[in-house]
Amino acid sequence: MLNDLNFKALIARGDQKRFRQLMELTSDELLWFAIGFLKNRETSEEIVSDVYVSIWNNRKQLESITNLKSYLFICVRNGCLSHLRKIKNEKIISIDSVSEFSFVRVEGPENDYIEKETLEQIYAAIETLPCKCKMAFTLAKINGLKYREIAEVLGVTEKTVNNHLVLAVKKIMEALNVNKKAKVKTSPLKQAGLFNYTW
Amino acid sequence: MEEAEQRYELITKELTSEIPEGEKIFPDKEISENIELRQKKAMLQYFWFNYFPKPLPNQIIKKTEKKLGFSNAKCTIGISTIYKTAAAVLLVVSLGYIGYQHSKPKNNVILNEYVTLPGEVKEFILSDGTKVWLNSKTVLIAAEPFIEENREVLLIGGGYFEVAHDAGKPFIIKSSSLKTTVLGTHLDVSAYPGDIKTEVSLYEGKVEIADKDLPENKMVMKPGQKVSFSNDEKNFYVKSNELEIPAEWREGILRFYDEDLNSIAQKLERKFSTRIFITDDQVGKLRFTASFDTEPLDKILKLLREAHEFKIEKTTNGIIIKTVKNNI
Repeated sequence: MLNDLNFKALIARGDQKRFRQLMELTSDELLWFAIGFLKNRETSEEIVSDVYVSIWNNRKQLESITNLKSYLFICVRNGCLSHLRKIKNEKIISIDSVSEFSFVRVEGPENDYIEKETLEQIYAAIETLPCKCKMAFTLAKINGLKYREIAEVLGVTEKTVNNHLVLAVKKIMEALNVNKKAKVKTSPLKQAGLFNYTW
Repeated sequence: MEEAEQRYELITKELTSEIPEGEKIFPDKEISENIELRQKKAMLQYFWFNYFPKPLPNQIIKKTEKKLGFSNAKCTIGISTIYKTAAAVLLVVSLGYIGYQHSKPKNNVILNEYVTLPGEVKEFILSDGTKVWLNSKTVLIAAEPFIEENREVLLIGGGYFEVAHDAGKPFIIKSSSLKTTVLGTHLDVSAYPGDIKTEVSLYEGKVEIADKDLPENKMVMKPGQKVSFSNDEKNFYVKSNELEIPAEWREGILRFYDEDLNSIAQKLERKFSTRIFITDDQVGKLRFTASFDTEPLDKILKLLREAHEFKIEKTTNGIIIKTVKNNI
């Protein structure tokens, strides 16, 4: 939907309702991403909001953007980088110089299939990952970005994205302590089929 | 080690759906034989597809709209969007929680909107097997699949329901003033915004209808009953106890039973997507009993005029109905 030409054309022509839809669809995810960098909710909200303001002010160029989703993430990334530059007074010029990124806390459905301790093990495994690897993992897992899109946001090749994600998966799998009594109620694969949600 | 690396890559690509369509995946011997590995993989998959951050209540949209000076956006909404806006408002009130989840990606509940245009009648089948026919200019909203205790839908307009039986999960139709609770049955609900009454006709089964604001104010309907609920006075009125042919509007039939011209005009407006103005109260209160099949609007008005005299004037903005008395 986001990359629908008609959708972008309507916003470009000044359709405020469509623009609001765009924000409704993307604001939560962009906020989580910004908090990953800044750990501060208020500043993160401000940065995401500023991104929307500049998108609206430059809406005439919207139609030339092929992938609106990754574009939004790139804008938020840039906003966070320049904020870090300001407050830390460091030479944070590119994403490579960012040294901290936090993986957002997640919640599962009720009747958790994954026990609390296991979830902590997963968090701990993610924490050991290098910063950019954590970012790649967040963008893939939380935001559902494709390799190509993650590569754009992080400024690396798709091959590197693949390496990051494989490392993350490996670390998590190694950390998992499988309980022999694990309740297998519904096949996770079956459940996964329900999530064919496309943007 | 190389082999293990490949195994993790395979699992990663499965999670991220990066395996191109049509590409063959060779089943990994180790994964299929090693139970512990399989369990770990299943757990990771479950984590990947089911665990997401809770949406953070935030002011981003509000802030942005304020910065851009959108605050007067509400005043410029066209009439055509009123139905959708009404839907959105009601939605926030009654399905707020589910609406919230909707903004989350990869969620199993999807908010579906079924819409009909003026003059259109459409048939839909909901995820639980319930059949719905929507009359013209109607919006039906359902969070599907129905995972809550109840199967709740929101109706703005008119619809005929053949509710799939599920004793454990009542089917609830919420409209602006009524809450209709159903346990597997056939019924017709008319709850258009702007109408002074909400009407429910029951053809089969049992339903309970309750005032949305005062749940104690309720009644249980019997098959064959047609009940009209006054949206202002909040009282029920049993209009008929006779079983009729269910929801004839589905076949394009318009039937009025001792109905006044005000309410007939509203139905004609929706079906023919035109405006009908009634200039004085007296004409509006004239009552008619009639049924129409494929007649065009012109003919319908002329036929109604046979029963009670009134004057029809066509303008570019719609049709004006006047009393004849003034001209004598």
